[in-house]
Amino acid sequence: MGPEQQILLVGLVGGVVALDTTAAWQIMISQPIICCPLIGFLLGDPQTGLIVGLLMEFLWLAFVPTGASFFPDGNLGSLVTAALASVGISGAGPLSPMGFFVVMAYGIALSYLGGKVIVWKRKWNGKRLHRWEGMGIKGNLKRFSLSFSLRLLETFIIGFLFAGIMFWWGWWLLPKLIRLIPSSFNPIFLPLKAALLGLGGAVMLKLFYSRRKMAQLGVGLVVGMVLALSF
Amino acid sequence: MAGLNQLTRGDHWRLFWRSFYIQTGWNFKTLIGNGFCFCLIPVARKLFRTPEGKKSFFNRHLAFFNAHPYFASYALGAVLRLEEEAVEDPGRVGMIVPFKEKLTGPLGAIGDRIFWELLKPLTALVGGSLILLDKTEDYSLSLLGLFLFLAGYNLPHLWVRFRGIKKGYVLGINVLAEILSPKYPRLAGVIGTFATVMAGLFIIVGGQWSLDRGWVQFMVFISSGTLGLFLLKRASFVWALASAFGMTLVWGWLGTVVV
Repeated sequence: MGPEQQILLVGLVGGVVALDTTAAWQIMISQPIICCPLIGFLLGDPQTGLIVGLLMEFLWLAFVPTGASFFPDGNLGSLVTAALASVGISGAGPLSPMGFFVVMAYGIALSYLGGKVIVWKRKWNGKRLHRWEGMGIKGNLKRFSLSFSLRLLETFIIGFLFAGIMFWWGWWLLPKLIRLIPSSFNPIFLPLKAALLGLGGAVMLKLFYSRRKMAQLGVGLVVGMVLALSF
Repeated sequence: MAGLNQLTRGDHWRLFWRSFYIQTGWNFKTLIGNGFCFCLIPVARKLFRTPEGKKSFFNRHLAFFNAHPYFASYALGAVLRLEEEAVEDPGRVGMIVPFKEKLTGPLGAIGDRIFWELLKPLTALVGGSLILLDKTEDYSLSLLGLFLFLAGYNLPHLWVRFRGIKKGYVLGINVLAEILSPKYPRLAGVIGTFATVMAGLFIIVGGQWSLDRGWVQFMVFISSGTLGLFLLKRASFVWALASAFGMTLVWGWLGTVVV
């Protein structure tokens, strides 16, 4: 698959992810644990997509999207990360530990930027309110429905452009950054997956652990040990 | 003014379908208010044939409304019932907006707690643990994990969306008592228990996964998790994240020096 096709594919999946994240359905296909293996599979490396999705999922579960709160858009950022990691950026073979480190950092930064894009989109929706109110004054149900439905197309386009452009930009920029670091430093970056997995575990403990729940956590630890030994 | 007091199967499915788009027009002024209005359009077409009726409908429903997107179905059903009653008895129109305002808090709180704070992490923990345990070449365990994540989350999700409309319609104004009933906090407690057990399991499985890749990775897992938990509680997510990247470099360097 050529770079243009890859960009188009990442953009298309990005559009669907943007829709499922906030604007429509919310059936969780946009979650990193789902969309990253999917894009990895489409780009020919499902295993990398799977591990990126797993690591990103547990990081972003730290944020609960309630009411008008700001939250990073971990979904689109993770999608771009998984896509870049899957193609090995610039098609230069499997990603080195240093490359993985840089790609993950890029994806996390993108997630914060994506959160800002959601806020901007919601402000933009607010600017449409007077038009919708105008349709309401005229009692025009049909036009209101149509105008409202067009917001779906708008969200898809924003997701398409964000994912496509950020993938292309990462594909162009990140290899240049990676080349700045001597390749002898590669082993230093190797433990990143374990570090992010540990942080994901910490996020889960913060969400669920309290002194009252010590026994339940203990049950989980014991069952986990049994499973870990048997697999 | 056709279709009074009869939520037809077609209406139910139309409301259900539109409820998936309740957040499409989310904005900082009315939140999901216009999405709520959008969901009710098919039945508004049946209930209000005059321009005045339609204008009055828009006035009531384009205003502020907020709820969890799935639990908003209860409000959709109940408000539809009130709209139908108001067509027969126009004196009841005035109670629709205050009723919606009363629903805002409980519907948001219950839905956020059950779905965002508990069920999503729980199903992710199930899926994630299976991915970490997977040593098969055909990713069969990982695929099972992804399936369980989607199914475990979406079966309750779709059930709440679909049943909420019917339940809200049947109960009408009494839907508030249903939403405030103790069964939802009890349900949250049960999901929370399972999630805590799964969190313990995930940590062990994650530790094993790291250990399989060498002692340096295991030490990074432990130290990043411990420091991360401390920073998540005392500082912020960004600091915890920075510490995970920092731990990678420190242990990675130590690993190269020692080895």
